[in-house]
Amino acid sequence: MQTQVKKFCLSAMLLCCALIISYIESVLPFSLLIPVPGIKPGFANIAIMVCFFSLGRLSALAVSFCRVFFSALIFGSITSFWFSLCGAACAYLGLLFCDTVLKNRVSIIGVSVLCAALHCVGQTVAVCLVLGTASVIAYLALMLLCSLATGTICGIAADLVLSHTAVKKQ
Amino acid sequence: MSYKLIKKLKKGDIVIYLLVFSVSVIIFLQSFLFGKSGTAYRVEIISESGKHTYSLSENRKEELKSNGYRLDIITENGKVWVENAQCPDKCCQNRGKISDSGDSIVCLPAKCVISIIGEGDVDANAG
Repeated sequence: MQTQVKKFCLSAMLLCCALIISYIESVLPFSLLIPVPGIKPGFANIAIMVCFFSLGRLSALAVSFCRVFFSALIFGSITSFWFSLCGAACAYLGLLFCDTVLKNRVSIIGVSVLCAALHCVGQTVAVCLVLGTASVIAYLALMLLCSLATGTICGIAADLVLSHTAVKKQ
Repeated sequence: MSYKLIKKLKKGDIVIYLLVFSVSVIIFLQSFLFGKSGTAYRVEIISESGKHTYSLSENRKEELKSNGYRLDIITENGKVWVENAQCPDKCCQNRGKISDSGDSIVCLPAKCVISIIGEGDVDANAG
C-alpha cells in the first residue's frame, strides 16, 4: 500500500516536472533557431523516460498522456493537442518496443533517440492527416536529423537522473 | 563531472542512430529527386478554404485567410514567401523564400501549406 502511494506521488511529481519543462520550452523561441514547425528539444520526455524506467509502464503512460493533455489545456490549442498526442503515442510504443524486444541491447540513449524519432514520425503523420497533403513529409528529414541530437541530449539527462539513488527502480 | 558517452553506448544504439539517419537521408533524397521532375513550376496553396494553384512565374500578392489567421503570400521572380503572418509562432515567415520544386512552407496555426510543385505532378501530389 505504502509503495503504491509513493509511486503515485512520484508520478505526480514527474508530471509536474514534465509540464514545467514543456512550458519553458513553449516560451523559448526555438523556431527562430530552426525555422521548421514542430522542432523542440522535447526535454519533457526526460521525465517520461525516468518515469518509464523507474515507476513502470502504466505510470509512464498516465504521465505521458496527462502531460499532453494538460500542456494543451494550459498553453496549447486543440490542434497542437492532436499533434502531440500522436507523437507521444508513437514515442510510447517505441518505449514499449525497446523494453520488451530490445531490452538490454540498447542503452537509454538509444531508446531516447528512437523515441524522439518516432515522436517526429507520429507528429508528421498527424499533420499530414489534418492538412490532407503529403508534402509535409519533406520536413521529416530535418526533424529526424534534429531528433538525433535532441534524443541524445535527453537520453544523457535521463541516464544521469536514473543513476541517482533517489529514483531507484520501484 | 565526467560523462563517458562512448562507453555508455551499446551496439543497438549505433543501429538506431544509423537507422534514423538513413531514413532522414532517404526522405531528403526522395523529396529532392521528385522535386526536379517538373519543368514549369506551380505554386500550390492548400488551406482551410480548399486548394488552388498558380504558376510560379506569375508575380502576385495574395491575402490568405485560413483558420482565423491572415497571411500575405508573395510570389515574385520565381520565389514565394510569406509576409505579415498573423499567427503566433511566425514559423512560415521565418522559413524565408522558397524557389525549388518540392519546397514548402507550412503554417500549422493557419492550417495551410504553400508548396512548389512541378507541372506534371499536380495529381501525383494529391494522393
